[in-house]
Amino acid sequence: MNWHEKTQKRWMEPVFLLTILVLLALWIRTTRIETEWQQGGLSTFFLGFLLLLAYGTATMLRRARIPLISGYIFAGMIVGPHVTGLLTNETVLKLRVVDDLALSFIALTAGASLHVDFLRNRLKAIALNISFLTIFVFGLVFGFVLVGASFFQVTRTMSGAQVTALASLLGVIAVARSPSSAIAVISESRASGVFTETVLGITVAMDVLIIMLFTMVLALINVLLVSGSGIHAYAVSAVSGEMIVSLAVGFLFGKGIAFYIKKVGHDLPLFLLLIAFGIVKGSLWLDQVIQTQFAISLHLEPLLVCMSAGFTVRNFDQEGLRFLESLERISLPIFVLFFSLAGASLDLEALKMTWPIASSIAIARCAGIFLATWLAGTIMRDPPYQNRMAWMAYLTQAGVAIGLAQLAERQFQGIGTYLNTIVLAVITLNQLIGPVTFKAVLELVGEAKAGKEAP
Amino acid sequence: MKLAFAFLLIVFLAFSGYHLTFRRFRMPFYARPFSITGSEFLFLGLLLGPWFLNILDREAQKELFFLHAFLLGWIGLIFGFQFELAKLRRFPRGYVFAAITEGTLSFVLIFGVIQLTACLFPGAGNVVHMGDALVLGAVGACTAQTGIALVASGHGPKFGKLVLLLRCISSIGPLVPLVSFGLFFSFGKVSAANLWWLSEVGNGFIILLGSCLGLVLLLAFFLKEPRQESELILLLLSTVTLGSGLSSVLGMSPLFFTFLLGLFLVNMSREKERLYQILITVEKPAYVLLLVLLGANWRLYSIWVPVLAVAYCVYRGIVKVGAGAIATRIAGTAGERLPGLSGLGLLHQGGLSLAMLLDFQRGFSSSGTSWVVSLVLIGVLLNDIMGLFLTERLLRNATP
Repeated sequence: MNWHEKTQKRWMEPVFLLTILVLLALWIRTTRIETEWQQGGLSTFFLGFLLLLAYGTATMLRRARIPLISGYIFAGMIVGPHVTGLLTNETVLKLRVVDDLALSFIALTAGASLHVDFLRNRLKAIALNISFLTIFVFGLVFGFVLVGASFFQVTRTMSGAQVTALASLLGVIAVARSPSSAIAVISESRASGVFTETVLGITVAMDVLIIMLFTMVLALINVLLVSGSGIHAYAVSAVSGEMIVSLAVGFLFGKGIAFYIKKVGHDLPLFLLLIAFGIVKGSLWLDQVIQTQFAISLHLEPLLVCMSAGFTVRNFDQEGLRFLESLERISLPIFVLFFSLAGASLDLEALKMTWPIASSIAIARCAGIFLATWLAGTIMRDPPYQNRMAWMAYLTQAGVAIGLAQLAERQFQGIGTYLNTIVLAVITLNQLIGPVTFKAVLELVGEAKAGKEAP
Repeated sequence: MKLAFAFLLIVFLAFSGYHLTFRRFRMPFYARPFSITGSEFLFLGLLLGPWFLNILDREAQKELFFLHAFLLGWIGLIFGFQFELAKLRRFPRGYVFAAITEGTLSFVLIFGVIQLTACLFPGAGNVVHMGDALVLGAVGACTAQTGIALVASGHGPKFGKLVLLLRCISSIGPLVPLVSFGLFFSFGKVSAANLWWLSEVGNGFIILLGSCLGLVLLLAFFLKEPRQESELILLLLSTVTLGSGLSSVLGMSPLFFTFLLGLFLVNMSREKERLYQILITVEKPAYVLLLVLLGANWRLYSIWVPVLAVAYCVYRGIVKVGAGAIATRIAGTAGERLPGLSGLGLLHQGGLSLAMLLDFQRGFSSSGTSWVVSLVLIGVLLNDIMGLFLTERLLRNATP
């Protein structure tokens, strides 16, 4: 079998598979819906369809070295209401009930990925990188949006407060990274070494930090946009208080999960599903109860609670690894659905409008990452060639960034749609380029083993 | 918020519930059947339903459609997985024949007599339609494995052959009733169906088998490469939801559709063992959820419902004992000595019959349907209570 035939066979099967799926969906679309039972069946069908299609597309695109997450988003985009319309807006909205659950899982996983012993070895380097990445990336993106607002069609009509809010949110989301993508690339390359460990440490710690930063920025923007009264010391202390309470509640949940693992131990995935969903809905319910009963506005941030819970189990309990394994066991369907729905929600018309600003932000973010990693590496006296290339390891963005954009979208209707679209566009770019550059840098610094052992 | 709360609550109940039930706790004598069979969750569902706490109200139940469809699909797939030809061959041939005979006979006798009653008494005919009679027959013919397994575990291996026969009947026996139910569900209302160009039953049948085989082929393609467990979970979840949704849109039974899917899968896929292991991890929570969801729609329309339920239960008991005796004769032709009253061990109705009820309730929503469901639920309770004692008695009295 020659190269041409091999390639043809490699691609024909998945293409055939996906064609069958799409034909099935097209056929179902032609069926007349008359009863509630059929209406419910239609949503259920498209739930399964989206899961299979996104998974199939992603595994097919992986052969072209495109990351899985990009595949999920791409599949969602294609079948979504803005391209082929196989999934209607109504269906997408119905299926998006899974968002909260997915976000909780991402936060639980982010917290559980953060292992104190692992971080301790390269504490100084990690702390320096995180500080510089936060300052430079946030600063450059924030400054760029603020200064360039009058040049872009999207931001031209916004008020000063709205531009500041958008710039802050874009800035803070630009800091986010993707631990899942990083871990996937590292295991795919079978990389190990000081550089790899530092990158991984920074990536997971950054994901935790980003949730805290985002919570703070969100509350401050709320003050700025909703009350319009400016930022007072009271607001800042209230936000800090909420964060502390959220972390404490998360710690208690973490202890509860650890207790469950120790005493009961079975059906952990199901239990975690319940906990994640419970935290999200419980936080909302508690907000309402405290507001109506005591007239106190205490907002528990579910992401922070979940992150803290995950961190607690991973670091203060012997069963931390088992906990992480259980999360991984059930996270795939949730993530596939979450990312493909994010793709389906991508408003391509808005994307057309936001494309210039999105690509500019991606470049500003990249510049910020380069400055931060080069400076941190120079201070740490790492090899100069490594300092020049380190930025390539930090481009990927995914779960948390999308989740944060969606949270902001729900909270701030005016700027939220644009924010979500811009963030998705930036992430799409970063997800396409990031894993490729990350893999390349691991090979360049000589820590990737997969290529070397190949015959 | 209410929907989220309802969902959270029932998932919690399903999760915590199955750990507390299906066990031989040291409970009072009268309460044991409930704790072993999980029947208490029917009452819990009733409590959560519109009659009492109204947490699972009509709107919440409508919104939880995907959960219904998913549950039915999951249970159908599990039942389909029991029909692995290689494993069925391990049963003696006479046992398999006996099991099919028992299931068919029970179904025909219950369905036939109810339908005959409806025809003979015009008053009853207005209430009980042919579909209702068929469902009553199909659910009545089912036998649960749980009760047999739980009771048999306390008696050791000395009744191996009897327990093997009972297990064989409970596994294979519901085949004909389920197929009849599935075909009735799919084509029973074909004149009112929305499939304007598929209104012919023959075409519908081709569609049913074709879409089922199509899904199996899809899954087979995905399973060509070795997959990790998380990927298998994803593939199973998506296939079940896709299959349930597809069959619902086409006006077919999700339970029957996924049963066929499971039947094809288990006999064609190399990953059947791994898939089955994933399927059974949520078997018990799924059963508890079924009980809660059915319990929420439980109504006692009139005093006649419990009276008829008792009559149905007694008649079913007689039929099962009779059909069991015939099955024992057939199984015993190879010279094996089996007790003639082995039908006493076949009274538990179990998950499949409840799944059929839920399917029927969703697909044929009317007051007649609710009436049938309420009647059968009382019957299930009575059968579970009686079944446990009678199975114990059967095993105790049987000569090893």
